[in-house]
Amino acid sequence: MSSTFTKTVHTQTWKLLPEKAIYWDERETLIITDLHIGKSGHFRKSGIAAPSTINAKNLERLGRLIRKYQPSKLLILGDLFHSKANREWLEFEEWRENIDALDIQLVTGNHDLLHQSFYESANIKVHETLEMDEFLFVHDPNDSFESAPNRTVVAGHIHPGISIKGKGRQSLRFPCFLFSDERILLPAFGEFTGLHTIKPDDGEQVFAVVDGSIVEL
Amino acid sequence: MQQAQSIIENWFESKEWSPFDWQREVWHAFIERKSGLLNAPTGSGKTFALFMPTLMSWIEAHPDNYQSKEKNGLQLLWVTPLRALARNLEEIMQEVVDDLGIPWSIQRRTGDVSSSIKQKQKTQMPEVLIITPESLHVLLAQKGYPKRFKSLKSVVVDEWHELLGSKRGTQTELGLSRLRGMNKDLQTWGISATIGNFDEAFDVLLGIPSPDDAVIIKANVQKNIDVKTVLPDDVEKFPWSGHLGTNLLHKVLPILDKSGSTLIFTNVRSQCEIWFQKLLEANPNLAGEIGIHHGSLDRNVRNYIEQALHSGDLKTVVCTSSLDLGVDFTPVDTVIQVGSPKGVARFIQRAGRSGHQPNSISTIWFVPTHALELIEAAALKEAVQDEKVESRDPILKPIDVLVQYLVTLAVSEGFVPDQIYKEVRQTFAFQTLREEEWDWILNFIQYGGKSLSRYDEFSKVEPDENGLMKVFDRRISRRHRMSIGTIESASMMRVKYMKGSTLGRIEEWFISQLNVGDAFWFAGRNLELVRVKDLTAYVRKTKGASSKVPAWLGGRMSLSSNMSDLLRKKLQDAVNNTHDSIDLRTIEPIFDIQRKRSILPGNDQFLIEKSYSKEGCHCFFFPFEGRYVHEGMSALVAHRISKLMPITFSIAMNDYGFELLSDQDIPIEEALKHDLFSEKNLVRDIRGSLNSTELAKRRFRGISQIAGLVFPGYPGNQKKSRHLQMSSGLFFDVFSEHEPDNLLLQQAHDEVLQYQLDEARLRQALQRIHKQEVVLKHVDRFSPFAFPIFVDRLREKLSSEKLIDRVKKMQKQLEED
Repeated sequence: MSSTFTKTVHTQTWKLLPEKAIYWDERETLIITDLHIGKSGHFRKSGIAAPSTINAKNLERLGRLIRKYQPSKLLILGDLFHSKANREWLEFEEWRENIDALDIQLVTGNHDLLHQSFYESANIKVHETLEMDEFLFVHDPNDSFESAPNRTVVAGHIHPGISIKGKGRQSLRFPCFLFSDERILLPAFGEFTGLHTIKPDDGEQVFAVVDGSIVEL
Repeated sequence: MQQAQSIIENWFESKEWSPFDWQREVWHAFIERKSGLLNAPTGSGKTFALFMPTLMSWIEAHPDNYQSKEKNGLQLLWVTPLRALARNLEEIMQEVVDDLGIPWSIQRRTGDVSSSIKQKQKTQMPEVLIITPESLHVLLAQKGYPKRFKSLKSVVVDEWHELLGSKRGTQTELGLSRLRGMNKDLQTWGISATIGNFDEAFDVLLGIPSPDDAVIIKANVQKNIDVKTVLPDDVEKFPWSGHLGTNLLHKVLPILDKSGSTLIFTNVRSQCEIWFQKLLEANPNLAGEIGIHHGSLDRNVRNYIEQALHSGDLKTVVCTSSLDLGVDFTPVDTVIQVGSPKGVARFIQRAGRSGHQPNSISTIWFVPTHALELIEAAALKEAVQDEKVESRDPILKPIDVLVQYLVTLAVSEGFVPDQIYKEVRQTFAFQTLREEEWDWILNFIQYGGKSLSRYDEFSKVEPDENGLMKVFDRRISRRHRMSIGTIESASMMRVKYMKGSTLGRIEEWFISQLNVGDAFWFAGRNLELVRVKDLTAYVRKTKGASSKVPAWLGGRMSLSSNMSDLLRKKLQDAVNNTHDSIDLRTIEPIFDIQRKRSILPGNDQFLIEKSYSKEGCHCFFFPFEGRYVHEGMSALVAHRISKLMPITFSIAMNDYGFELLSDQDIPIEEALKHDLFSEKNLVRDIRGSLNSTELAKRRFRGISQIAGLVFPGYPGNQKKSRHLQMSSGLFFDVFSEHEPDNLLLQQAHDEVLQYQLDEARLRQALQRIHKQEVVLKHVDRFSPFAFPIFVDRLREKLSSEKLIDRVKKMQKQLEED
């Protein structure tokens, strides 16, 4: 069973990955969103004992993904860093140094409040929104943006999850991708981030992340 | 002592009362500075039994100037579980000292006392302080607390039976251990209603080891309770399921007419709201003389109702357990219980809210909400007759409460670990606390559990230069003080009129389901949601027709083991047909249907019913053991069947039985050959069955709040703390993955086994089933026993199928529809 799902959008080949990321073949670009680095650190600094290993595990997962697909570019759709600077940023910078050849682009989200200089020192290019081909990459899909017409919005922020029901009163909930002509939503990459259950409209396609596989619903 | 006692006896005489023998007995023991536990019900004069000897000792010690000596510091600490009781106690005690010319100050220190009074108490403690367990811990979280307790001589814990079986009880134990640590001669008394484990209650209160000369004194006050059932006219038209009971409302109205003041007890808040609404609809003349009282209503609203009930201005009040305790409502002469009270003690307690004069008869009407509750009616009558009251088992070793307590000490004076370890080990709850557990807890509050990161900035408790464990960050201290307590609270939203008063609080998730303009019923009013801002729902009155009633969670209590024993006994009576119970005779036509479609199982039979519907295959099991035991047994049975083949169950249960439902055939015949109900590997199989660990996750909600992982927010300023709020479920998931040996996580799993699934009772139930003949019936139509379980939508899940296979199956089913 192939665990990824390949989708053609505007003639481009997008691979939906069960690691909660998209790999864009033609552009050799890995797209993720809502990493929320520093979240556990933020809690811990306030005396709330979130496990300190969450951050390292998140970065480790991302590292593994990058080694597997060898992208030339990593595109993050916002909420890279969760809070004001804490020491988990240093952990991130160290991690960054080990893959310094990778071009990292960040579309900023509501949590990305760090001063510009932090991103500069980590060699990350920052955008409010980013247009590539027919796509407009943003953080919050509900914001209003200016762009050329007929662009498909690609966004994070929502942390989409889907609940499915079956016979015998069964129901299950999974993180998911959501596709329509107007917009594409990605699941949050970070752990310790939560799910927001969505109800897809007609014409919206949902791909759930189930146990290391992508399942079209 | 002669002088002191005659002063008090004279005071009784001036009121034209005379002290009971048991009151005098308590006085003498108290004056000899013994500790003890008094067994006396509410309204029996228990306050005078323990307050008077405090005064006697005082008069005795200061015979010449007891009427002039002021500012004596704290003498007596009176712990009560309920704020509403505190106010009443304050008034009673103040009257006594005023009468006797003793210039003592009697004050409360509870959540509803103004901050200016609390501030004054910091510099000058009153002689008597009435306090809740939570507020006691708030005091221990204040800098300089030892000098405030320096002159303290005695502690009285009122309504100890109410605290005993909960984490508030553990909190009380810890508070007492600190007070005893500061003053080894401290005298401790408790007051408790009759409970099944009275001797244990004594041990828990007095600590390990208990003082040699401590005593138990029993008041032996007899209460006569008359239980009557509101019977349906035509039981064949009476519903087989449901929990509201409003179809017998028309038969309750005449009772209200004939009675004086009446309390109508419902089991959950939504039911309370609905009954209030329906009573008014049925008899609009009730307007103005009927009130509503439950835990979500604003304190002011509740105070008003209590006052009006006390004065006789309100004739009828629909309430929940919120009025189980509380001040005497002397005018109340009738109590109505709607739906199963689930336990004997609760039923007797509620019955006792009426007929407060000694030796008068308390009348309580039981209103069944569905047909099978008529069996419970019969059981309740026997239980009341034989006073078969339940035990309240103390909580053992709740790590979360200890974590909170240690941080409490760290935000005030700091603590020396070795000393506090010794004190804590002298509580009943933590007598078996192991050194490595203690070390883990210290490590947890100091370093936030194990840390693998070089960059970790965890800060909470740190040792100062003298080795005192302290919290230095003032924001952490402030947050901790705000969240002291062990009562689990969901995220609540204030409900407030656009202009003016607050009506109360509703769970946030209910409001989030409403749209602006939607109508809902709350505090006995039909309200329209106008807007939501800063965790406040602004509303106005509306006449809008249909409206929702908030369905509060947490109303699913289990039948106590006493009640389930009696229930099975009554069922056997029905099988034998050797009874003269009006309740059982009334339900006979339903039993007939049960016999026709299946069987009416007796004591020597264990009934399983199997049937099919378009939803799939159903198997119903009837142990009659109460919801909690069924929760464990259903998980166990589902798990064992699921080992035979990949299968997915959704599970429902009530107090009589449980149902396994699957989209495929359930191989029950085969499973029965494999000793389905064996006790062997019980714990392993239950743990395995909780593969989703959903139950533990739910338990963890409370634990994470108490241990300070989840911060409920500052009052009135919840928004500010949002950035530190994370659902306990996520904490549970990350701990499970990253720190499986976390003691709080283990506590969640242990609590599930001990308190929720009640492993001990589950074992007994399995042993019982082993002696029974298993009767498997294939039924075409759901039996009266099965139907109420079938219609329950709240379900547990269990699966041995691969996740991806389940998703594919569900998809296929969707396409077929």
